[in-house]
Amino acid sequence: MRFNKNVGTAIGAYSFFIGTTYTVFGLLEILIGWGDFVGIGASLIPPIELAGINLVPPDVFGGIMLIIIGAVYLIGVRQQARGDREGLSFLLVGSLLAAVFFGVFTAIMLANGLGYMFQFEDWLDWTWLDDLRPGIWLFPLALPGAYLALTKKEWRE
Amino acid sequence: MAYTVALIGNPNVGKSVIFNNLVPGARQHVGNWPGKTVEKKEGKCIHKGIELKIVDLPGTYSLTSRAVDELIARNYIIEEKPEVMVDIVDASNIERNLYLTLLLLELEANLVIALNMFDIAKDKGYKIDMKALSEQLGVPIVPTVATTKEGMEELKDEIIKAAERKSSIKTKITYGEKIEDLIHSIVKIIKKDETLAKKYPLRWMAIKLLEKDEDILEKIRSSRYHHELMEVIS
Amino acid sequence: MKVREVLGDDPEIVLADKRYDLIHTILETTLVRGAKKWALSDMLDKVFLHKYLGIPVFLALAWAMFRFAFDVSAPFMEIIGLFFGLLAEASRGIPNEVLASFLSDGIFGGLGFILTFIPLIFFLFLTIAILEDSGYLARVAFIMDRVMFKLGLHGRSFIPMLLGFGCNVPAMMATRSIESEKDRLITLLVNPFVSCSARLPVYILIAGAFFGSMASTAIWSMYFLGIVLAMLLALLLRKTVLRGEPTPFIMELPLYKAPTFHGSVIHMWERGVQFLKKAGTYLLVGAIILWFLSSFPWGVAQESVELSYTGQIGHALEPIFRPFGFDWRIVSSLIFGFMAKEIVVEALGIIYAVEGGEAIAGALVADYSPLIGFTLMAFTLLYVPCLATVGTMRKESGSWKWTIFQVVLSLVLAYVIGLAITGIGVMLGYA
Repeated sequence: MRFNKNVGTAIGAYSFFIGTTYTVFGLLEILIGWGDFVGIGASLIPPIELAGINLVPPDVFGGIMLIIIGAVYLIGVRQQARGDREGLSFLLVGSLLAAVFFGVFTAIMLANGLGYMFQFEDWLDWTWLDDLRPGIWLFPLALPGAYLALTKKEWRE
Repeated sequence: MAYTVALIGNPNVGKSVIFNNLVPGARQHVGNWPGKTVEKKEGKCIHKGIELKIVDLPGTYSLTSRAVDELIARNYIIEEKPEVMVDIVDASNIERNLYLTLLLLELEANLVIALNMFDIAKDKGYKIDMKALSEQLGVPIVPTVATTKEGMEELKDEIIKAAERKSSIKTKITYGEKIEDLIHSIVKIIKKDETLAKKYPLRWMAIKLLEKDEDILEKIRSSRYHHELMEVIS
Repeated sequence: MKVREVLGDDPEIVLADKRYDLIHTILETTLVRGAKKWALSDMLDKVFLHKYLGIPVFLALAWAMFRFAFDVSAPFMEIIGLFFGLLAEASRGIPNEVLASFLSDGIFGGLGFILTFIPLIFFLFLTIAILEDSGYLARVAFIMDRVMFKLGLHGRSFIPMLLGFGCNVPAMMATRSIESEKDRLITLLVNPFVSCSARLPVYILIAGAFFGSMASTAIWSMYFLGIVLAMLLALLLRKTVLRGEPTPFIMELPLYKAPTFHGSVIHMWERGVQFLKKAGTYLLVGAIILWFLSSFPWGVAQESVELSYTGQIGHALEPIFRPFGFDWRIVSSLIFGFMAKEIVVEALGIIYAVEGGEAIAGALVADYSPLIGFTLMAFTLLYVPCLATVGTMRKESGSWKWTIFQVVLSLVLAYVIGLAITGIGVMLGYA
């Protein structure tokens, strides 16, 4: 069955928004991290800061992973806009991946917090802002999608 | 009082989950089937004061003599004659799973069917008339959801009931006139050889001979009636 | 009476048909198939088995898995490290010099150092268990089958390859499920290149010392290198010595299940315990032998470990490894690493402990360049599989010829890849 065309367009637009956001931040992580990665030392674009907090870490591979998440969302857009229920799969799995990365990055933050708490040598100048990254703070965007894909059973009949 | 109960079923039907539900981890014993690299799990549980020795047979789709797993399972059933066999059937895939059930009925095993993954079958839109199914097969059926331990107590009840049942199940499964005639004539010959007749279920042996099962062909080679049998089945 | 005439076909097929007919008749009256819902598992499969997204999604999940295991275990490893550090310090106070050295350098410095990797190994096994219990790993086998088939590997080869990430020994035993002899032999021969968990401590030590925030990516790249080489090699073998087509493979996908914490922890424990057992046997013996060889002749070795038996062995073979920039320490570690690959790390631990107990990571950075570190990681991945794996190879292939072929192949490959990495690294200016 197909769901309502207007609903489909709305879901498609939402997926497109998240997909693009993840992809853009993935690209930023790669651009900023490229210098470190190839050993030139300088990043291709200046770091992005907000109120003194570094928003995007230099992480080429982490960036690739964000782009993969973004791609999952984006590939579903067309089917969703057509009102095809199969398009919901991409919303669900995209959100699932976003959740996995959120979980992993949060766990890493907590573990580093533990190292800091014990004042181990390698953690002396750690702050929790070091581990705050797009993979964490973009996740709330993905929550409504996961909720819809899981609960709107009538869309899947 | 102690009964031996063997678990059997197709691969991926939740057999090991049921085994773990029935037998607490600490009472499990993991070894190998004699001379084989196939893992053998067994263990004990006590239900209503009765001890059940549970053996986990390898997951199989069929019971031919061609694959090691299948041969292990079927030899166990023939040689060890467990009091009860629990056939774990994936309710969401019932069609394919019942094939093994029929083979077990041919073997005249004292069956209890655990109709597992009942929740998934429901999600798939399946409605199964369990009473009718149970009557047609002549086997008690317990609906279970192994992952949430649903139906485990009922399953144990039914196992004990089956073990204490006096008469074994007489299968109502027949394969049409032509085949039944053939089976009948083979059975008549096997009956004459007492050692064979005592060791194997007659009807099953006849079917296996029809199918030219290598293991059974080998077994009848030394029989006095070998020639006569070969005449019928060649 | 002729059976075939009566039944008209092979009796086995006729009977099977009859059984299915019967099942149909029974189900006609007992089963009502309602409208199929588009279930959650269909939604998941739509993406996880997607033609283009399947493999990238797998790579992303694998990367997340390593990130998690590596970064989360770090503070726990620090705790164990500090604990053995204290023990080593305390045992240095023992009046008997030989015993003090044995305990502080050999046991706490060598074996204890390897034990600091316990959290990491357990966390990694935990993540594998979660992926496996959820039913996702079977999907990976499915998407990889398409690739594997093209590469001339059998789809069933994937499970042994996957097991190889834990340990190559059970992985090679699992190849028994492959029916075709050629398919099986190819899987056996390439399996040791799949990076087992014993290599992990080496990667961690080196990557942690040299690559900072890029450490988990460097480790991930080793796994990637191992897989790629295994596949290329399989293709090559298929085109040369073991010509033929892989037999097709049908596999069944289990249902998705939300993994339970309890279940995954049990799986983690079952595998993790293997490492503890190994530590209590192989690695303990290795530590004792290595400590002996590194501390004797007594007195001379205390002046400089370079003069110890270990140093002598390392020096003798150093010329072969000169192109990579490996010195006697690395060379002798690699030699003893044949017993078990963790011993490479254990050996470095003992050598540096006998030398004066400086923190290993720091000492490594002072002695070697990141390029040498990376080459060492790749070399450890590829050069001769460990003793137990060679034994299993002999047993499972049933031939010394193939076993020796595998050993020689891995040595050559390690050397060639080592040269390539060094060459490219120098060209890019990393030396």
